Amino acid sequence: MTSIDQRRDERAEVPAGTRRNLRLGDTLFRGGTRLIASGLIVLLVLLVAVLAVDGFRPFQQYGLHFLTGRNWNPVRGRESFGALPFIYGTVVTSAIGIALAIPVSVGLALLLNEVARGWFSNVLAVLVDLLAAIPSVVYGLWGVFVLQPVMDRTIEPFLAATLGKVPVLGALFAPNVSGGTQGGDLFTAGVILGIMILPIVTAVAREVVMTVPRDLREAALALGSTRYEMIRMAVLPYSRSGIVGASMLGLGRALGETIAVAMVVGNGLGIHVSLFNSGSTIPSVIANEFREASSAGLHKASLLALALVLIVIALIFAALSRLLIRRSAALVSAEPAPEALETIAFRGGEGGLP
Amino acid sequence: MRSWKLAAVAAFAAFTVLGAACSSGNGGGGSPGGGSFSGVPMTAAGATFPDPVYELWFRGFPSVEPDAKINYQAIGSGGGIEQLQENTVDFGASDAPLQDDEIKAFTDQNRKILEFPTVLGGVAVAYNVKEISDPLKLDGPTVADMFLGKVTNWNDAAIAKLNPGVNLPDLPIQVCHRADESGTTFVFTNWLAQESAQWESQVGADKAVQWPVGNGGSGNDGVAACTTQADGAVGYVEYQYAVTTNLGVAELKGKNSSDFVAPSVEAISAAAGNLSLPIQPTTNVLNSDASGAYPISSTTYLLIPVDLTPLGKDKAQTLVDFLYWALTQGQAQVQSLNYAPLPDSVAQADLAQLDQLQYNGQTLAPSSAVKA
Repeated sequence: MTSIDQRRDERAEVPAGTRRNLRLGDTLFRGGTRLIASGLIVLLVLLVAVLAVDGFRPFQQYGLHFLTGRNWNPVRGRESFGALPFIYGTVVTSAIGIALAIPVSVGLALLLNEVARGWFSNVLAVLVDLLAAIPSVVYGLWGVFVLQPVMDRTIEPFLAATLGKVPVLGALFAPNVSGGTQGGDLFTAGVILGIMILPIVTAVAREVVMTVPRDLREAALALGSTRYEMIRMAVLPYSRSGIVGASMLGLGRALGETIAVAMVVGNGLGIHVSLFNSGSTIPSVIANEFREASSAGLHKASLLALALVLIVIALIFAALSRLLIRRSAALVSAEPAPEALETIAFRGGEGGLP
Repeated sequence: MRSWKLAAVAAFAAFTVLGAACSSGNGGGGSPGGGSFSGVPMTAAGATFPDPVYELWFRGFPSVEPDAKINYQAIGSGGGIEQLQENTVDFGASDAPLQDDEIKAFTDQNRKILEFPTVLGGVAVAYNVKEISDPLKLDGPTVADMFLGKVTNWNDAAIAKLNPGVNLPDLPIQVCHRADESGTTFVFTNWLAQESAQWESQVGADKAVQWPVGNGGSGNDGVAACTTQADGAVGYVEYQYAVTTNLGVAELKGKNSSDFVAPSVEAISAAAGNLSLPIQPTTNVLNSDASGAYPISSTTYLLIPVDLTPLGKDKAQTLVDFLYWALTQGQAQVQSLNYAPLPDSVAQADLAQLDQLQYNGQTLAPSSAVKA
C-alpha cells in the first residue's frame, strides 16, 4: 500500500506539461517493460491452460474422486487413478522439511546477525549460501548413500524407541508396515527437504532480522534486558511476518522439489500414519512415470492432472502465506504490512513449481 | 572493429567450406559406384532392453562395412512399432512380438513385417541377507507371495520348505521394485502372473503395476541400491545387472520345470531352445519347458519389413548384411555384456528367415564381406 501511494505522489510532482512530452525513450521503455510483464502473465495462463486441457480427462472420468482416490494402477485394462497418496506425500514431506528448517534457519539468522562476529560469521554465512548451490540430484545421491542408511539404522530406530512410545504422537514414529525402519520413507525425504530449503530460508530470515531498527534494540538494551531478552522482545516480534514469508519461500521449494525426493522417498503407494513408511510425492511420481506413460489410456492425462493439482496446492499455500503475513504484520505496531515481504512470500508459492 | 568482423566472417566461411569438403568426402566413400559395396546410414528405433547390445553391434558393424552407420533410438517397444508404421525409421525393435491389431495395421498398409529374435536376457531375483551364504531356492508362488506382502519374514515356512537345512534368519522382508516403467517389470510381473493366481487377479502384469508393498527405485541401479541398503531386502534386476552386484541371486523353479535354476548366460540361452519361427503373437520364452532353462527369460525382436524396395538398393543390402552379421559373428559378442546369445537352432532359423526379405521381388544375398 505504502509504496504504491508513494509512487503516485512522485508522479504528481511532475508538471503536467512535461508529462505529455515524455521522450521517445521513456515511451519505448514503458511499452517494453509492459510487454515483458504481460508476457509473463500470458505464459502462466498458457501453462495452466495446457495442463487443464490435457489433464481434464481424469476429472471427467472420476470427478473429484480423482483427488480422494487411493489407487494408482497403470496396468492395461485395470486402470484406475487417484491422487490422494501423492497429495498426502507432498504435504507431509514438505511439512517435515519446513518444521525442521524454520528453527535452524531462524537460529542461524540470529547467530549470524546478533551473536557471532567477524570471520566466523562470514565463513558460516558463505557455507550456508553454498548449500544453495548444490544441485538437487547431488542431495539425492547423498541422501541415498549416506543419509538414508544413517536414518534407517540409527536415527529412526532411536525415534521409534523414544518418541514412538509417546501416546498419540507416537503413531507418527511407529515402525513401518514391514516392522522396521528400513528403506526410503517420508521422514527421510522430509529431512532432505529441510536441508535443501535451509539456505533460502536462512538468507531471507537474515535480511529480515537486519531490518529491525537500531533504536528498538537499543531501547530494549537500555531497559536492562540481556541480549537474549532483547532478541525475544525486540527482534523476533518485529521480524515475525518476514520469517513467515521466508518459510513460505522455503515451502514453495519443498513442494516442488523433485529428484532428491524421488531418490529417498521410497516411491510406495500406501497412506500410512507412520512416517517411516515409503510414500510418493506429486513431483516424484511425475518424474518416475512420465517417460513411458501411455497416452492411449488415462495414465499420461492423470500425470498432467497431478501437475495441475500441484499448482493449485502451491497457490493455496501462497494465498495462506499472504493471510499469515497480514495477520502477523498487524501484530507489529511499528509498521503496517511491508509490501516487499508479501512479494517474497508470493514468490515462495510460485518458486517451487516444476 | 571492422577487422574483427572480417576475421569472424572469414573464419566462418573457412569452416563451412571445410565442413562441406569433409561431408562430400564421406558421401563419396559411401557410394557403391566404386565397385566394392560399403554400406549406408540407416535409422531404427524401439526396445530399450537390448539397447546396449544393439549399440555394440552398430559400433562394430562398420569394421565390416565402412560407412554403414545405424542410428538406433531406444524409445521403447511401443514407440518402435509406431515409428515403423509411420515409416519414420528403416526398421524397428520390440521386446514383445507383434500383436494381432498391430499386424493388421501393417497389413492395411500392404506391408508384412518379419520378426527376428536377436538376443536373450533374464530377470534375476536378488536379495540382501548376509546370514544366507548359498544361493536361496525359490519358486514362483513364494516369490509372488513375497511381493504381495504375504510372506513377510525370511524364516517363513514357505521359504524354509524350499531350502531344507538352511539356517534362515528371523528378518523382515523388505521388497524393492521399479518406480519407473520398465520392460524388466513387464517380464517379471508376467512371470508372477503365470505362477500365482492371486498375483494375476490382484495386481496383473504390465510395464508398471500397483505394487502392494515395498520401496521403488528408478532403474536397475535404483532397485540394486534399494536392495543393497536394507537388510533383508529382495528385489528384481536384469541378469546383466545382477552379476555386477554382490547381492545374493536366487535359484528359481518355474511351473514348467522340475529343477531350481540359477540365472546364467547358458540357462537363459536354453530358454529359447524350443522357440520356432515365424514368431506368433503368443510367442514367449517365459517359463520355457526346454531343459535347463531359467524361468524368467525373455527375448527381443528386430522388426524388418519383408519388402525392402522402399529403402533403396543400398540400404536394403546393408540391412541384410547387418542382420546376417548380427546373427553370426554378432552373437559371439553379446556375452561380453552378460546378455545371452541365441541357441544355434534359433540363429539358424533366423538366417533361413533372412531369405524371405526381398528387394524388387528378388532375394538379397548377404555380401561376401560379412560371410568371412
